Amino acid sequence: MIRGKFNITYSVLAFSIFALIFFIPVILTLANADTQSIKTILNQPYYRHILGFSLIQAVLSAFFSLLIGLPGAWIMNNIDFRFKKTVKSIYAIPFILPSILVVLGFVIFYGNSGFLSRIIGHKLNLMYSFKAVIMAHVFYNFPVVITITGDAMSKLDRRIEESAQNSGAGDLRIIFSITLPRLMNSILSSFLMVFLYCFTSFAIVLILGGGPAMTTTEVEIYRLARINLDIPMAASLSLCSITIVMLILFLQNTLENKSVIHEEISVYTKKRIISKSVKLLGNVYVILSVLFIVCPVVSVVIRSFIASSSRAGKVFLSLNAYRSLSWDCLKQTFSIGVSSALIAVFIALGILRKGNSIITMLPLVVSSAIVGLGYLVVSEHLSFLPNTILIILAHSVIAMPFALKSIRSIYVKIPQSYGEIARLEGCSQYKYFTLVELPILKKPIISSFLFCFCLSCGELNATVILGNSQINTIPLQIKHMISSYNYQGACAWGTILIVLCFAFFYLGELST
Amino acid sequence: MQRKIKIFIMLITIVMLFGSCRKQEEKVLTVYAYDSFADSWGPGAELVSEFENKTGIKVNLVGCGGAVEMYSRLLFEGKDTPADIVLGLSDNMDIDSSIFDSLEEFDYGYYCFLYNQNEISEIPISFEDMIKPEYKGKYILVDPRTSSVGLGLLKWTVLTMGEEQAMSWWKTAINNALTVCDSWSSAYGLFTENEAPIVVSYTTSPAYHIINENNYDIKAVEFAEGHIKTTEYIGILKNSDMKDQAKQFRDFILNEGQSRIAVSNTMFPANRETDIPKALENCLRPVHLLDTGNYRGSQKELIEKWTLNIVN
Repeated sequence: MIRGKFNITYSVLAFSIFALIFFIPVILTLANADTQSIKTILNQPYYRHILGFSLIQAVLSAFFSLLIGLPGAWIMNNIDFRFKKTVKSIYAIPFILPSILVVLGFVIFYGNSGFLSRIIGHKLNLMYSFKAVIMAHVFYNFPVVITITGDAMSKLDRRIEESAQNSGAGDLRIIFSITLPRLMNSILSSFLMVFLYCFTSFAIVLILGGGPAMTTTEVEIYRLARINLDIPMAASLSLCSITIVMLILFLQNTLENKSVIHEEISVYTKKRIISKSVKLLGNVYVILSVLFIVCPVVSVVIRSFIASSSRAGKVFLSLNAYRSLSWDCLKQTFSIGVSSALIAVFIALGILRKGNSIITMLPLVVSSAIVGLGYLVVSEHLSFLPNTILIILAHSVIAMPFALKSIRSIYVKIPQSYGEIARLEGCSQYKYFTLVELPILKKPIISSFLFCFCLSCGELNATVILGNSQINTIPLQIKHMISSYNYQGACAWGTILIVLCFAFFYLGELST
Repeated sequence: MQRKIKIFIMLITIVMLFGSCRKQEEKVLTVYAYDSFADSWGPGAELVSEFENKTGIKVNLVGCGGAVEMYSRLLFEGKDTPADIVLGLSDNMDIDSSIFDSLEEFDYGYYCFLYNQNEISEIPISFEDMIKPEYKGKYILVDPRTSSVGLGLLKWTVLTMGEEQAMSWWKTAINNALTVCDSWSSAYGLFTENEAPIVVSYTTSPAYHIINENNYDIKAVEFAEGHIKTTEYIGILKNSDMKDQAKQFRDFILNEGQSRIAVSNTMFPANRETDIPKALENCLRPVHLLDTGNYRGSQKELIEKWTLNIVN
C-alpha cells in the first residue's frame, strides 16, 4: 500500500456522487411502481402488444444487422482493396451519430419525397412503417457487427482454413463449416448487443413509427410520463423493461466470457487466394454499404441549404436556416455537454480502482429514458433545482460507463511495479495519482471526455422527458423542427451537430 | 502546487458553466401555443413582434406540440408552470377551467378531409370510402392521444357512425393510411411535402394556399354524413404573475389580431365583424353539422377504448 488516504477518499467521493445522481432518482422512480399497474401491463392487450412489439422489432433488427454485417466482417478481413482505411472510418460514423440525426437523414434521403425518390423518379413508400424502423436500426448496428465479429475473426487461426482449402474445399463451404462455427459466440454476443440497443430505441421509433401499433416501451414510458401524466404506470413499465434488459445483459456477459478465443494467433499471415467473382462481390458490398451510410448524412448537409417560400412554395438555395438558429441553444448544448462530460470523467476516475463491478455498469441496464423519468420524479421534490442541472446530471449518468470503460482499459495496463517503486520511495497516494497515473491516463481521459461530450450533445431521450420551456438543446430543436416539417432548420442544426461530433471525435482520435 | 492550481481552475470552469445556464431573470410574458401557431409557417412570430412593438412587453412564445400535449404539459407543470397565457385549447378536449382566469374563443373551423387535386382525381366522399383499398397509403391521420385534431376526428367518427362502428373504422383506416402523425402540423407537413394526397384538416385550410401561393389545387371534401365544428380558446392562467400583460395580449388577439390570426392560422375569426379575404370567406361551411353536445362520454375513456381497439 502506498501511504496516504487519497485513493480511498476519492473513491468514496466518486461512489457517493454516483449513488446520489444515479441510484436515488432511479430508486425513487421505481418506488412509484405498484402491483396494480404491473398487473395492468401484463394483462392489458395494449401493453402486452407494446412489450411484444419491442421484442419483435429488436429481434428482427438484430437479425438483419447480422445478415448485413457478417459478410462485411468477412470482407474486411479477407479482401484487400483501396481506401480500406477510409472505409473503416466510414463504418465508425454511426457510432458517433445521435439517433435523431439518423432519423433526419433517413426522412430526407429515403422519404417518399426524399432525395432517393427524386433521383429514381418513383415514390419509395419506405418511411413511416415497420420497414423504416428496422432499416434505421440496421443502419446503426451493422457496423457494430462488423467491428465485433470482424475483431474475433482476425484472431482466428487461419491455418485451419488454409488446410481445408488445400484439401479442395470451396470458399463458401469453408465459411459455413469452419469459420462461422468458431465465431458462434461472438456472433451471438453481437446479436444480443444489437438487440439490447434496439429494444431501448427511442427517437427512431418515436418519429419513424406512428400510432399505438408501433410503440416501444421507451416511447410509451415517455408518453405515460409526459402526456398521460401517469407516473406509477411509467415506473411499472420501466421496471418491466429493466428486468428484460438485465436478463439479456446477463446472457451476454456469460457469452462474452466464453467467447474469448483461445486459438493461437497466427503470426503466419499469408493471405488466402480469393476468386475474382468473390472479390467483385466484396467490392460491390463495400460500395453499397458505404453509400447506405454516407447518403443520409450528406443529404442532411445539402438539405440545410435548400429553402422554400411557404408550405408548398418554390424551392431555392439559401442560408436562411443558419441565420435564424438560436445562439442560446448552441450555448446550452455546449455547456450541458462540457459539464456532464467533466462530471462523468471525474466519477469514472474515482470508480476505476474498484474493478469492473456490476454496480457501475448499471446505467447500461437502466435506459436513458428511465434515467430521465427518474430525474422528472426528483424534480417534483426538488423544484428549486433548474432543469438544466437535472439534465447535466442525467447526461453524466448516461455517459459515465463509456468513460469508465475506456479509461479502465488503459488503467489496467499500468505496471504494478510503478506502485511498488512509489511505495518504497515513500510517495503519497495523491502524488502517485497526479505524477504517475494522470499522465499515463491523459490520452484516454481526453478522448473519453470528448466522447462523453458528443454523447451529451446528441442525447434526446432523457432530455425530452425532462425538458421544459427553459431547455433548448440541439436534438430537442431538431425533433421539434422535424415534427413541424421545418426540414431546412432541422438540417441546419443537424449539420452543426454533425460537424461538432466529427470534430470532437477526430480530436479524440488524434489524442490517442 | 501547479496541479492544485489546475484543479482550482477546473472547478472555477465548472461553476462558471453551471452559472451560464441559469435562467434569465428578465420578466417576459410566456405564451404556450400549439406547434402550428408557433412554428416557422405559423402566425405566431409575426403577431408576437407586432404586439411587442406596440406594448413594449417581451413575449416568449413556446411551441408545445399538439394541443393535447400542450394541455398535459400545463397540468404537469401545475403551479410552477412558466406559462401566463395559453393559446389553442380546443372545445373537444376535456379542460379543467378552474386553472384559468378566463377562456375565450378566438377562432373556429370545421374538420374535414382535404385533397390535392393534382395528385388524386377520385376522392373519397364518406368515411366508408376512406377504408376502401384504392385509398391505401393515400391519406394521413392524426393521433387522438396527442392532438386535438386527432381527438376531433375521433369524436367526428363516433358522432357519425356510433362508437362501435367508429372503432372498427379506425382499425381499418389506420392500416389503410400512410401513417398516423402525432400532431396536425406533422400531418400537414407530410401532405404539403406530397407524401400523401389526402389529409385530415379544416375546411378553411385551402385558403392558406390560395392566399400565400396562389395555389387553387387544395380542396376540402364535404361529407354528406355531416361535419363537426371546433372552437379554439385563449386562456389566462390563474397562477400567472403577469395578468395585466396577459390581458393585453389576449385583447390584442381578440381585436387587432383577429383578421391576422384568421388569415395566418387560416380559421374563421371568432369576432364575426372582422374583415377577412374572399378566399377565406368562400371556404366551405358544411351544411350538415353534427352536434358535439350529443357526445357525453369522457375523453380519457374514449381514448383508452380507441387505443385498446387499435392493437387488439
